[in-house]
Amino acid sequence: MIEKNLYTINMGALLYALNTNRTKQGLIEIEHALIASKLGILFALKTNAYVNFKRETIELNDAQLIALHEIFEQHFNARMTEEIRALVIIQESQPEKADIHQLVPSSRTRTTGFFSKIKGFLRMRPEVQESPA
Amino acid sequence: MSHFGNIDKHPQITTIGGHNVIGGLSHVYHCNYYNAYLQMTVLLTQGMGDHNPERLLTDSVTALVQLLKQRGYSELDLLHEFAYCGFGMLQQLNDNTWETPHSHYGKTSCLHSKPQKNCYFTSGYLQGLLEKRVEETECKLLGAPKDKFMVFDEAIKVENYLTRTFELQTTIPERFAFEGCQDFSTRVDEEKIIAGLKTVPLYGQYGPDETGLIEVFGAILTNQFMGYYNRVSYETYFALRDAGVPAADSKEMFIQAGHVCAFNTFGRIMNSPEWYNVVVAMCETKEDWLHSMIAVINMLGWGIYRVEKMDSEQELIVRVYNSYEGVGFRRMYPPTDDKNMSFLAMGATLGLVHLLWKVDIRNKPALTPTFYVEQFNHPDNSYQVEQTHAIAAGDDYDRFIVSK
Repeated sequence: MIEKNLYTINMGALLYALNTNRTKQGLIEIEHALIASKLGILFALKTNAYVNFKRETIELNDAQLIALHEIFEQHFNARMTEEIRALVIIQESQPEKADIHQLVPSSRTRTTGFFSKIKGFLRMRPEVQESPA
Repeated sequence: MSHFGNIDKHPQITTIGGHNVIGGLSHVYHCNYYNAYLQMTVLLTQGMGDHNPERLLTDSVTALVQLLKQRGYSELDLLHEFAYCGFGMLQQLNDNTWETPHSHYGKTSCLHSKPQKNCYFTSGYLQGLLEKRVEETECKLLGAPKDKFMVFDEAIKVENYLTRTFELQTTIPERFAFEGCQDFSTRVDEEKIIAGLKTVPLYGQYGPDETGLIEVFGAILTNQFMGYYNRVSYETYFALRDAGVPAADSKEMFIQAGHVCAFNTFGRIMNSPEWYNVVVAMCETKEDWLHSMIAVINMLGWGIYRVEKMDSEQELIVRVYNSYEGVGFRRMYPPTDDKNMSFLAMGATLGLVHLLWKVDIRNKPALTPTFYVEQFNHPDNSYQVEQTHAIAAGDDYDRFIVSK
């Protein structure tokens, strides 16, 4: 048995955040129903797991949250790191029976979790680049 | 003998059982909105194992062009047909390069990711024409002035997928004259509508100063190969199912494409001056408008639509003889047990009902994306569609029930 983080996300808020992100970039808004349909297919193809994104809330684990983040970037042209960080509710670690491919210690799960993986994205760039010596 | 040998450079078109046949292949009219939405749906499967949607979108037309060549089409015939069907103007720059200054698929995309090259269809058409591998190198959707295509010195191997024989039905009942049909009373004259709208030029022109596009009713149409739509749709659907995506979700995007098509194509036709000149004088009720639009659909190569029942604002039942999806399915695959297989027709009949009983197109609303989202496709006051009979499943016709 290992521990896995579970994240709850309100879909209405997430889709609203996606469109806000897109409109800030000058991209067109997309209908929520269409986003949810596309997400359902793309997510299933990417993770071999089916999630109904038309529900009010969804629950994802670390790997699934990373997959969702990648789908937003690859298929909706939106880097949603900040938005996802703001919207997820982290549940207490859930014990889950893992298959042999998921056997990793819980401490490692945490360091390879969504927020660890996206740390690089959040690093601020200096406003003035230093000139090379 | 050239297939485009007459003065107008128009091909011979045979209309049979609701199919418009050019060069032995059925063609169907669709708009740029549908084409873009369908292509987006097919491309959802990018990066999915052995399934290669880019190749599917390309090679599916290559096989059809090869069939035309086997039937005697010359290179010039194929260039004419490309323009005639509204795909654009193909021009050769040198041995290895072709371009389309104007092209249907280089004009509109429905992708929501970073812009990408979009003219898979044109690449595939050129592949069939040249018998060599072709790839798009520049696309107008990426800001290039023209779409450009590189010809590789590499022979192509594409298999014909229209391998099954399935004949069109020729004994189709007349309108309102079949068992189980409601007793209708309407002044709508289907023949008059068809005659009136036949004056609209639903073809593109080939020539140095021409675009090869069909720009009518505020949309851009193509007279696309029926086999192409069916091949790319069903192969994608089966790939989604094989990957474990539930049937309802796998079908939803294709049905929604039909709904988008109804909104944009039917909606724009019903807002057009041609519609008001020819049709509106015959119409007193919303139901007359529905009957009239069904008459127009019967020109599009989609098969023959016959209204079985219409209960105002409540229920519409339509039969489709020779539905292009049903016929197309049977020419590629054995019969299926699944009755809900005519995705376009499901979305289109639902959309037709929504245009009258949900948003009332008679008020001439602006058919904007915002209107689509906030009213036309909004869950409030929506109808649902079910397919009860399917040619794909061995029935004589497709049958759809749209109800509250």
